[in-house]
Amino acid sequence: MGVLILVLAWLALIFIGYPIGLSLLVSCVGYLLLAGYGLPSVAGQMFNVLNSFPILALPMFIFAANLMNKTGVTDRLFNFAQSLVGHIPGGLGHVNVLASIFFSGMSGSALADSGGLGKLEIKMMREAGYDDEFSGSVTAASSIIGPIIPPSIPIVLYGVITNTSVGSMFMGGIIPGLLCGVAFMIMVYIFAKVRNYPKSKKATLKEVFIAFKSSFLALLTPVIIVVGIFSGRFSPTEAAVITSLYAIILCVFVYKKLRIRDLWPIVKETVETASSIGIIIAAVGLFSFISSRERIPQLLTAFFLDFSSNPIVFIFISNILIFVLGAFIESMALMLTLVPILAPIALSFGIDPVQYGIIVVLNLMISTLTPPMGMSLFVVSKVGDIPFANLARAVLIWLIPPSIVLILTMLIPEITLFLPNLIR
Amino acid sequence: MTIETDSKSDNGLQKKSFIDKMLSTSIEVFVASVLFIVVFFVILIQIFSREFANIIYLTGIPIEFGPPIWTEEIARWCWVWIVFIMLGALEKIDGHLKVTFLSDKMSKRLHSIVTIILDVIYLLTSALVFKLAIEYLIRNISTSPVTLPFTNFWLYVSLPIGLAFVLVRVFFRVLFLIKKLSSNE
Repeated sequence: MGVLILVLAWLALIFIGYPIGLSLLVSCVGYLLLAGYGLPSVAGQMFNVLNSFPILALPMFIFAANLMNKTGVTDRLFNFAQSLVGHIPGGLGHVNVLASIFFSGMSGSALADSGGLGKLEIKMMREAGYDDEFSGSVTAASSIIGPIIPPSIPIVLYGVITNTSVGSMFMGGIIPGLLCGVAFMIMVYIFAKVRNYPKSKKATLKEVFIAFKSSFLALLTPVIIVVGIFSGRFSPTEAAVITSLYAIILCVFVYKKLRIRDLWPIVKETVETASSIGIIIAAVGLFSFISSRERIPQLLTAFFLDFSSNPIVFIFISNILIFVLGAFIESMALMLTLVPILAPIALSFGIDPVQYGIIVVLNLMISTLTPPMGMSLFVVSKVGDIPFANLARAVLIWLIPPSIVLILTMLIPEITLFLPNLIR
Repeated sequence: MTIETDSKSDNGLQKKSFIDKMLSTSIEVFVASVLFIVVFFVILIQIFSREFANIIYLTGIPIEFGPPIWTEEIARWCWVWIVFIMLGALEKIDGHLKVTFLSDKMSKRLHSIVTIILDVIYLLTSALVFKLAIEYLIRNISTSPVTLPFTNFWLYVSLPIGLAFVLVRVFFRVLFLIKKLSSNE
């Protein structure tokens, strides 16, 4: 009961606009004060959760994403995608999805995709005569592929808070991410046929090669990450640093888009973003302490087992919960508070942690598209200058493709486990 | 909270009151950015020295070389410092993640009143956590990390310092808001 009040107090503070991390911190400290125990461990819990090497992958992947957005690589990826799929009906819609798949290998953030690549995509689609709602919807929807295909900031966070192998989760995200891409392209094709959207002239092999050559070095990024981690060369944190170093080399020496001194504002931007997430993580350390002290995962496991011992039922119920809450709570905050409770229950049901992790991340990314709290919608609405209400209405149908992939991922563990099992 | 603080006012072109000055200083961002660069290079040293050691081992060159063992701990400590030292700076730059769709609909006056109430709660919580952090620091003052040649004091002092910045910034923001509210009346 006390924990329920804590969660309600936290949600109330969030809804009146109080910062997510501070809301949780204030609620947890208030709870411990009233409960009369655990106060001396407050500082220790905050240190314990932050003082971890794997968690350093988070600021480093944020740094890499910020750098990649400044490289001008988005133009190259867009051109390469256009040379490959621009000639299919609804051409630029497909290009939008494919460019997001390419960019997802460089950036682990949906917002970096919708903010960086999105601006260019919407501009190009608008000029080609596509309506704003369609352009914005495809851009927002395809941005969710970014955090599913490695590298991925939400996967790093999930791995750190549940002690699941980040490397295995990176591999586990590849097939669901690609399936989302295919599902979105089918959706674009249907729209294009119904609305008679234009297509571009088919590129010659020479044009495809030129576009490929221009974007080749950027396309190598995910290869460096995946091969680096699975050959045992780097830990995920080290892979994030190598990715950032590679992005600096591309920015400064190859594409010559930045000077060394231009890196300082990017570092500052990274520090601001990463520390705002770090504060939530520190507060979650306290919340996890309270949750385990009050035996919340055990109580919920007993509740779910009374209801059904079928793991699929648990997966569905927990994901309906995430989907509904995701419409109202920012995805990162939702993950950091729900996952420490749900992941141990999933484990006690015998669900593979990698499969459950990818399902949760995919679901949370879908929640970035659901109004009123869809962060990707806010970003696309802003960069594309599209009214939020129009975009929120238009995007609803775009929830179908990733939801189908989500259900498939729940029912067929091999979708997530096939690649990690190859390497285990 | 965006209306109260403005990072662009750092240039000093406008005449600032003492409260404004206290709100706009951001040494924390500078320190945190430097620490981030340290983390970046320390992890690079860790990777390249390990690779170098592997090459030496594989080639059988008779050189005694081992990768440094302190890199991981330094990187972790810097990250903890980055997060806690930025606690106060995030108040200034309005950098916290938050949901504003309800607060955006509030009138400016109501928004200011709500912010004052929440800030006072935050001040009290920060003061309590500050006290707890000091106690934790004192309890662990003589413990040592595994690889670094100094005590854990230098890690655990980051939270009280970060919270001290919070207490100053939020206190001055509350004063600023109260002053603004009373001048509007």
